[in-house]
Amino acid sequence: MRKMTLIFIFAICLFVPFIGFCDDAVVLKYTTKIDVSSEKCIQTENVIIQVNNAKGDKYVDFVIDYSSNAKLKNLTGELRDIHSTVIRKLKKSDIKTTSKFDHFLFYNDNLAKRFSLKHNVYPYIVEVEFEHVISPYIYVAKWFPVWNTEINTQKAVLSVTVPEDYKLKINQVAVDSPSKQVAEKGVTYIWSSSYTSSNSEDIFAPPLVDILPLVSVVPQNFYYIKPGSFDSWKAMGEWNLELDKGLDELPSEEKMTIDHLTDGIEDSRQIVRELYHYLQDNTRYVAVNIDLGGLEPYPASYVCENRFGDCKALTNYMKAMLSYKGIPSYKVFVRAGETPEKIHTDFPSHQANHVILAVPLANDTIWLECTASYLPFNYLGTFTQNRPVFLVEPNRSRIIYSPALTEEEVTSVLSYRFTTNENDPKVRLSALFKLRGEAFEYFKGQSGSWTEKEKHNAFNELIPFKNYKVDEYEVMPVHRDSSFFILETTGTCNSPYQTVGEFVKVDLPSMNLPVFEKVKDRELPLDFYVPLAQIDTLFFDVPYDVLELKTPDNQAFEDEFGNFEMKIVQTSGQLCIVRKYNIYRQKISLEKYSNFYDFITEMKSSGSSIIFKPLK
Amino acid sequence: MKPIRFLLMSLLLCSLQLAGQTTESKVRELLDLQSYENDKEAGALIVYDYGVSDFFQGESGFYTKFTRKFRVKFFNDSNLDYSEISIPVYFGERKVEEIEDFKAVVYNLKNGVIEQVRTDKNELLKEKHLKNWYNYKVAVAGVKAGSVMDVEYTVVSPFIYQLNDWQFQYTIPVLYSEYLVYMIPFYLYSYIIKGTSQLDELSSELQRDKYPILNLEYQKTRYKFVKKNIPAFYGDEFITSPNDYLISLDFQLAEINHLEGYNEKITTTWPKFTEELIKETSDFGGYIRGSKKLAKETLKENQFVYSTKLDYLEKLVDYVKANYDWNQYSSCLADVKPGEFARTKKGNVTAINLFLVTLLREAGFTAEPVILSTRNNGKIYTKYPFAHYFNYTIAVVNVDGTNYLIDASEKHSYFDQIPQRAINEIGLVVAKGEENWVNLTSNNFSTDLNTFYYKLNNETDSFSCTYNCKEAGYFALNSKNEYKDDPEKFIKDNITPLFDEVYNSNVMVNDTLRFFRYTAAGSVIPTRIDKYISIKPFLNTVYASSPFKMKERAYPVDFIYARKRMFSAQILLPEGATLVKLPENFEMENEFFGLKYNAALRGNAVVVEAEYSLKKPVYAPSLYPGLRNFFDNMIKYFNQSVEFELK
Repeated sequence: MRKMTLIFIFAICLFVPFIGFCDDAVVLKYTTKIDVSSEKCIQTENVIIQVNNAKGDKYVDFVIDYSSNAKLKNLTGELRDIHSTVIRKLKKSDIKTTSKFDHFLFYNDNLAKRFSLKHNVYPYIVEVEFEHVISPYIYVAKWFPVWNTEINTQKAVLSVTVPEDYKLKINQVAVDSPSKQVAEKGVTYIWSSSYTSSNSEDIFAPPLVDILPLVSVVPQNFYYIKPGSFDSWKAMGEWNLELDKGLDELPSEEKMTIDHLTDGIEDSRQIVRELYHYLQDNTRYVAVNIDLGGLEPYPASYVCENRFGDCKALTNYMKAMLSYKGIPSYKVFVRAGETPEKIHTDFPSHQANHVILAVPLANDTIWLECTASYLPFNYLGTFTQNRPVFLVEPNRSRIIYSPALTEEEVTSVLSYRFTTNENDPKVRLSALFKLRGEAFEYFKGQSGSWTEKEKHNAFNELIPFKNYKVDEYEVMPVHRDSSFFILETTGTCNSPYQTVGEFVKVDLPSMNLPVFEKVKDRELPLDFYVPLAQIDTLFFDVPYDVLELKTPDNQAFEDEFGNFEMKIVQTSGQLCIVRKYNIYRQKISLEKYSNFYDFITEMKSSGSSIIFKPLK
Repeated sequence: MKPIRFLLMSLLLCSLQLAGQTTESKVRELLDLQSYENDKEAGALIVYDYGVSDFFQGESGFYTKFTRKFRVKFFNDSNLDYSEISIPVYFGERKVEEIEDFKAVVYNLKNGVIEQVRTDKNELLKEKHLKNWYNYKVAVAGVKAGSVMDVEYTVVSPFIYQLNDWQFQYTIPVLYSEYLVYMIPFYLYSYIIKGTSQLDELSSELQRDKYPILNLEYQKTRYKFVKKNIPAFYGDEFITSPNDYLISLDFQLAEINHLEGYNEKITTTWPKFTEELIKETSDFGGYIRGSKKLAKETLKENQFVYSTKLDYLEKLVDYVKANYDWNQYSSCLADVKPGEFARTKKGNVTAINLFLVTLLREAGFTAEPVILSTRNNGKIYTKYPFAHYFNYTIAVVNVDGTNYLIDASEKHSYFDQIPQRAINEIGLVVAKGEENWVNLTSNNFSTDLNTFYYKLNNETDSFSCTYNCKEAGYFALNSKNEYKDDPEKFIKDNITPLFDEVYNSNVMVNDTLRFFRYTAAGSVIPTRIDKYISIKPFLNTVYASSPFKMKERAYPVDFIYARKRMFSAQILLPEGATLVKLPENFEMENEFFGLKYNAALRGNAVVVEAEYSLKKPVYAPSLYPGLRNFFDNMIKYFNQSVEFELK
């Protein structure tokens, strides 16, 4: 009996990992079956999830979207115990219907069905199946073998069935080629894969979607509002241009306004600037998505009337204004985000989530972000810079690269002055910040809508010094097209001086370097899409005439990852420290991460404090 | 006749013309306005805000019409979200609220000419929320910095139980706010004015017009509520809910005078209110009765073994916590039927706790539901029996003369520990025909004890440190929730940052003795300059920066619960080392705060013992300077270093 018990326990220990028993939940199987015809795509999804403990219950809270062009049908669900005995089935009364809320949209007409299937005896199994009928469509499939990124998927299967004469295009990454079956119904392609979840929160890591297996399937030819083709980027561009036909008409009143604004201006660049400022001052970004999943373009007149629009509408409006003045410009579709997802440049298809405008002039191309009233003219921020983008130009649509922010454009310059008073344990700190790059975009974009208190709090947080309390602040007015934000603030903070024996240690404010994972904890490579750079100058009043510096007064080092420099100058009663660092725009493999970590550690320790001995 | 008619017409035209000019000049004045002198930071200003609620007779009874008309001047684009209008409407099973009318006009100045852009009812977009609520939304066209926007809409409602409340104050200043309510003698309402002690005008006037109904006539009484020059509402940290401080008007139906001649009290007293909940409300009293079957079955199927009554209570509570899930929705009525609750094992907080009450009663306990308002829902005014205060239910159980407050929706709390979201002054015990309030706030301390033991290594470049933290009360609950959710993250967030390198860590949860404890050992690199070594005894476990940076504060500071933190560090001096600097001692003690810091050399070790306490859960604004001073002292003394010199 004891022997049998031991064998049983041993067997469980062997068996347990394979059924994901140690995870909170696991997807046993996730099947996607797509039946394609020229008019519609019927996508049937079936997922079987095993929930192993109470923490896994959240994975059987379902939210299934649908819309007028992606109708939901045949939604079923079943709860079973581990022996496959059905405990209960999903009832209509279990399902609630609400709008599909999206933080980025003011309104969208998508709906969602919400329900849960939960048991109190673990483990238990939930199987849900539903069908979407999508018409019209421009994607047959954009598939990852993932139901939920937080839990493993043991097996994921995609099958796509098309009529025999149907022309399609396939892009697959990190997944084996499909098997192919020919039957009366048509040709069926089947892919199979799996997914192992990662809890990685590594900073500056590539986006998860770039690491996952992927299968994209698109029709070579399609009808989506108008007929189109994914045969090439050029063909796709022609379709986009067809969609926009006739949508650039401006009301006569608007034309008069444009004429008035640009009266007497000959220079094209100046005209573009004038009209861009007009757009920024007179419109705002409000995204209202109705019909056809947000792909339908809006006419320029929509923006004229409403004075708002989403990125497509505002960009189209700007383009229409330039066109009226005889200045050609081109819509540019981009995958926006601070960590850009990969664009498959050899696979013409809809991969963007944002639109900007490129205006080629004689000696230069101007890039315009039409949704942000606070950004300077000809500035692409961290959101859209340095990545492949799809430029739509008659007969020449193609992939190009958006301009990259330079080191100078992202280098913030900070200045601190510490003043002590014998009778006051607190130190007065005056700071002057010239913020660029991401910090500029954040403060310029947000500070306009902050209350007094919110500004106070934000500027307090900006000072990387202990217990800083703002007394006064002032945002310096700069030209609207400046790509920097200047803030001056005065306040008090804890004393940075610490006496240690006969020495004085001065803690310096942090250099705003990110906190990188320790070498043993890092799981993913790094990708710096923009350089990280900063220069700061610190002035300290010291109540000594002469100091013997223990910290070297001149430190500098550089390697493949970047460079760092720190200089200390002393005058009577004052210490001046200048620190500069630059982490280059680059990709760093996991193998090189320990070298990079050493570089960062050396930088942080070199620039964190200075030590001196006052000489009598 | 003709000449008189002509004269009247002229007079009418003349007055219309004059009115038109006045409106245009007023708009022009506003268009030219660059800022509001009383609040230069304000991105927009509500120039006027008029609301009218009136009663009308329909085919199937009375209905209300609520009309709102307001004007906003936008100075810059920081508050353009005030042009994104959202109007909630309620859909009952047989009756619905409707938007009868909506219009907006936006004025902009263009080359000295006032231009208008209109938005009408057709632009409204419908958004469905849970439980019978829809939002009608529209982004008003034509708005930009400098614009003046007029909005007017009317909502018709058959639900006379809910008269429109009125909000005077917003996050932008309001120059003039007026709410008129035309009451009819058949429905009487109570109201509360929140956020202010008085209005600029509060009056009532019987109207002249008479309205026939059956063989009667009635007149309306117009109530007028006015507030002027209302500053923008700026929230703050450590407050419960803006609802508690925003100036607003809250209505509740109190009485119906039926045409048949009898008078129906809707809610006049708390005892009546609780009686109705128990006897007549299907999603409360009805739910309790409907849960009996499940409760009986539960007791039958699970043969609970216990030693004492309290032990039995704890086991029953643990059973409900383990087997039923909160769906994250709060209401003081159950959102599922008992049958569905039994089947799905899921419900809102009231569904769970009413079932708990039923289960406890079947097991022989004296248990009652307690309804309350969560912290983010605003507080309860006991003077006014308003049903809509309440959005949460817990249970109160008496065992041997002691009351225990229990919330079975909170899985990780001790059986008699209610979650922080429910700690909002008082709750109402729902017992038939009674008015009993229970205090939800406790002055009991939540505590932690942090101990540190340091020993310098042979190379004298780092200390090995052993750290021990023992938490009780809400400190323990918070840590337990964090830890159960994600143990790795808990260690990463709470233990790893303390050390330069962690050797090991261990977490212990002891529900019997009610503490949460974790220990860790690792290395800490001190400040080392030549032969001098300096170390802060309490590492990063103490505040380095005060959370109170503003010089003044308008609202109470609410910490939710009183707390006491204790620290003890022992730093072993290496052989031959000399103590160079001992931290300065400090002590302050009063009924609100306590602070002690003591460092001494005892044999070959420096021993530092310190504690601080916030003795109240809530501090009035008048105590804010003292609180700020308390934090400044705590930060100053608790971040001191011990220094010694090696031989």
